[in-house]
Amino acid sequence: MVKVWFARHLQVFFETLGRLWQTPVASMMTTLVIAIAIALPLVLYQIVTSVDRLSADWQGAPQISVFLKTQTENGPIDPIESGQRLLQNPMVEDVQYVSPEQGLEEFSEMSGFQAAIEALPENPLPPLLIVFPATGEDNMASSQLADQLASLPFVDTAVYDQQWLYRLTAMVNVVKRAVVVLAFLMGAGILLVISNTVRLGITNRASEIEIIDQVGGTRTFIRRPFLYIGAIQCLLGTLLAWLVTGLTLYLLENPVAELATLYQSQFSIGYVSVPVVLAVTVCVTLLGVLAARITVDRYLVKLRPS
Amino acid sequence: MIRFSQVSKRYPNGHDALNDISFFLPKGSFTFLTGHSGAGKSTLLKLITLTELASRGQVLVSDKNLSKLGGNKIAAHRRTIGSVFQDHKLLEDRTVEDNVSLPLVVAGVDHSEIRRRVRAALDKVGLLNKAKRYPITLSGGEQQRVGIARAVVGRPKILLADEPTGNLDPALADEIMQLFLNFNQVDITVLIATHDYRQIDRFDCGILSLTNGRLQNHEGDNA
Ligand SMILES: Nc1ncnc2c1ncn2[C@@H]1O[C@H](COP(=O)(O)OP(=O)(O)O)[C@@H](O)[C@H]1O
Ligand SMILES: [Mg+2]
Repeated sequence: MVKVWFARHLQVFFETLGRLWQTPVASMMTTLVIAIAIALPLVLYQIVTSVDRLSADWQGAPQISVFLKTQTENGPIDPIESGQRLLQNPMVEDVQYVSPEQGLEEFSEMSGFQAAIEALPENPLPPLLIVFPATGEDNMASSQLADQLASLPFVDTAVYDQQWLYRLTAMVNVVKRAVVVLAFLMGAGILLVISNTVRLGITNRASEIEIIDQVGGTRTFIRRPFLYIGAIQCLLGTLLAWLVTGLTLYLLENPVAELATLYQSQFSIGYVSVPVVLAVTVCVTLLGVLAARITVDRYLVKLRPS
Repeated sequence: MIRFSQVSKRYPNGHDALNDISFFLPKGSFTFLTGHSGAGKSTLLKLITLTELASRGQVLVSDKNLSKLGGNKIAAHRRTIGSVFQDHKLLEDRTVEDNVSLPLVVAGVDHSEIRRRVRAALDKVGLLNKAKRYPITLSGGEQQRVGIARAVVGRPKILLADEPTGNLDPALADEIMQLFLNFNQVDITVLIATHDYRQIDRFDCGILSLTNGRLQNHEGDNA
């Protein structure tokens, strides 16, 4: 009995493949639509998770760069003494002094413009105090502290260094949410596409279904070929989606690497991980089966005697 | 085998197709169901196959109350019945043998057993040499014989036929009827709906006669 059951499944599987092959254009269209519906959120997901990883790496301890004036109406400013005064603020955890000479040295090392810098008649950099706030992860407080420091009489400007990173994180979160919404919409799209394909299949085989019902075929038996349509179409769609996703990420690889070099970063988008590939493949295939099942069952209700 | 007790059937549009029908068909009996067009013959057969449910009364087949069956029990019940239709209801895109094998395939019968029984059934109706043909390439009488082979291949206890000779000339109709008689001899309960009175007169058997959904005389009635 198990052997017969297995043979029957195998037969239906190949029969369904054959049927899909008989209408190649329609089957290809369905496969393509499903592939796009999967690939689109997936590529976005891959990009957004990589950027997210990157910003987590860059996070570090928050700091505020406080550029000092060299002169006020009351005379010259002593950077060390200014640092002491900043430390009296309870929101300031630590202060580190970077003299204009140190700053210029660091800059010429990092930028590679040594020759140009040596040609400068005088050091253009202001004295710098790096302030480590006691605000911890609180982005708003750090940003407020920067504003507060900027308004001190001996301070020229105060820049909260992580500000842009927090903006990036906020943006990434927006895109992440958009990917989730997109994934749901695409899932609904797949549901509709499969439902439509199955409905068409039922219409084409209405007389066959009626006869099978009359000679004592069970619901399970009638349902089976349509469940296979859902499963096979979704599986084919997923396979094509991996091809599309892989190709897209491959095409992004070089430009992103170039961009990353400009920022002296090792950043790369990479490829979708194997567990994600497996999970998406299984979930989408099950989604196809579910969509097919709902559609067939809605039709089978009509076959019940009344 | 088949027992109707005060059965009525009202279609959803309010039409009363059958009214207070009671009869009993014993195991192995051979009965004609007659009546004018629209008398309710097809409806009565559909109540036996559970294609339709009785609105009132009880239909018992092999001591099972059909109104109590649901889900897969309905399918199992239909597998104990062989049905022959006036329009054959064959699948045009399948060969004769694939059409005949359908009841065995849905019953989950083993592949080699299916082959054997399909050949036996086709042999009985004299179509063994046309097993690989498509229904469309066969004559009306041959198509009807394919339908009969499909009806008996599952070794049903009951054989129902809805105007099986309706579209056939008299000689072919006689042939088809003879087939049904042969099957009746192996203890199958046979019920044939027809308005071909020539056939009825040829055979000495039970008759259920319907007029406007009511039973007229019931020969062979033990109810
Ligand atoms: N599905 C249906 N809905 C409504 N009325 C029906 C339906 N099927 C049959 N009828 C009506 O029921 C009556 C009996 O039909 P039927 O059993 O097909 O008669 P017969 O087979 O004897 O010609 C007819 O008047 C027919 O119009
Ligand atoms: Mg009729």
